[in-house]
Order: sequence, then C-alpha cells, then structure tokens
Amino acid sequence: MKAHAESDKDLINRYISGDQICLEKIIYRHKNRVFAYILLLVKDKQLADDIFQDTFIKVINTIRNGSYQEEGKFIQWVMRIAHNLIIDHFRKSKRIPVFDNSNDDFDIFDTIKFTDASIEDKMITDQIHQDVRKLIEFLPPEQKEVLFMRHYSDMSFKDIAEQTDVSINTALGRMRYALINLRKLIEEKNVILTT
Amino acid sequence: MQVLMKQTLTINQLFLLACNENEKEFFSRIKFKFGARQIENTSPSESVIKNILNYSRGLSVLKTKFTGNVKIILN
Repeated sequence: MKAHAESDKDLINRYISGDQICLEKIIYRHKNRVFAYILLLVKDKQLADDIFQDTFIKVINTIRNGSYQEEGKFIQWVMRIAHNLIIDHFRKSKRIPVFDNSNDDFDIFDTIKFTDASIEDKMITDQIHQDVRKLIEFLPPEQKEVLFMRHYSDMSFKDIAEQTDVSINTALGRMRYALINLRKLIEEKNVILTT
Repeated sequence: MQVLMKQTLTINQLFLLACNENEKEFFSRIKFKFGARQIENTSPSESVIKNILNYSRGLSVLKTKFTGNVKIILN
C-alpha cells in the first residue's frame, strides 16, 4: 500500500482548523479512485464530473457542519456518498426521461428505452449470444476452454489455472489470445454484435 | 461480447472493491474485469476540482443557537 506522509485523519483535522491546502491534498489523493468508480457506473465523463463535484460538496458541507465522525474510514464514506448520488441520478433519469431532439429525423421511439426489454430486444440479444458461441467454436481448444471457464462458469483465474494444470499467467495469456482471436473473427466474418 | 464480460462483477462487488482495496489493487482489478486500461488515467476535469476548492474557500458556516448551522457562500 502506498504510504502517505499525512493520514486522511490528520488532513481532515487540519482542514477543520482552516487549512484549505489540506482539502486539496485529500482530493488529489483520492480523486482517481472516486472518479473511476463514478465513471464506470455512469459511463459519461461530463456526468461523472458533476457527480464527483456534488460528492465533494457534500463532503465539505458535512465536515464544516461538524457532522463528520472520524472513524478512520474517510474513503469508504466518500465512496458511499458518491454511490448514493449515482443511485439518485439513475432514479431521477428513469422518472424523467430526457429526449435529444437536436436531430431533424428525431423519432421519439428511437430514444425511449423501456424498463423491460421488448421481445425484439430479447431476440436480438439471444442472436448475439448465439453468434458469440459460434465464433468461440473457431478458437483453439485451450483458449476456448479458458474462455468458457471464465465467462460461462465465472471461475477465477486461480481456479482455471489449477483445473487446467497451467500457471495463472498462462491462463491469463490464453484468455488474452482468445479475446484477440475473437475480435479478429468478428472482423473477418463481418459479424455485428450490437443491439 | 462486452455485455457478457461485464456480468462478472456486480455493483456491490465494485463498490466493495473501490472502498476496501488500495488504489493500485482497485485499478488492476477493474482493468482485469472491464478491460478498461485507459480508466486509470481518467481523472475529473481540473475545472471541477477548482470549483470544489473555491466552494470550500467561499463557504462560511455560522453556528447559531436557535436556527442551527447557517451556511453563507461568499464570492
């Protein structure tokens, strides 16, 4: 674990005492992790920026109000705030759908996403899964084996390595080549794998 | 393809990973799970960080006896 000169606790205490630099230090210390988490869930850089900002505004308000209880779990607390804001965002966006009408050929039925997948969506998804399975059959046996164990049986690479009697690195390498070969096959055979 | 791969980690698992693992471990796990090599270098915009710091500098909290905490933001 990376050793920090000052603990989060020290920085927060100094921030409470009025040292603004400590807030900057603490944001720079944790920004990548918090932002990556938000971005992975919302998949939109601008929205992730907004949620990141709201997260730290809440952090500041709570600390300055004197409501923050230091229990040595600062990052867990920040992540929980970010997580709750993401959930709030999804709840709101589900309740109030936003339509993009910047396109002249705008058709409301192109943008509305219903909560439950339609029969058509399900058929397309099933077709994609079938196509992927067919493509996997073209892979060399050892790559096919690792891919099935990982994605269809949800096994860890440690378990896969033990089961196939190879090192973890070999299992990882086989997986990597399986994905590279699958991508090649998708291109060669001109398969479309999107809904 | 991606849809199948993403199903190997639930939101709760991702949350626990982000909270409990150290940063290096967190990024190596999400790279592995999501194939998102670029995500480690992704950080919030500098303007967002500036906004947060400016908010903090401009914020004054007055603790009053009868109305609780009063927040004042000064430019």
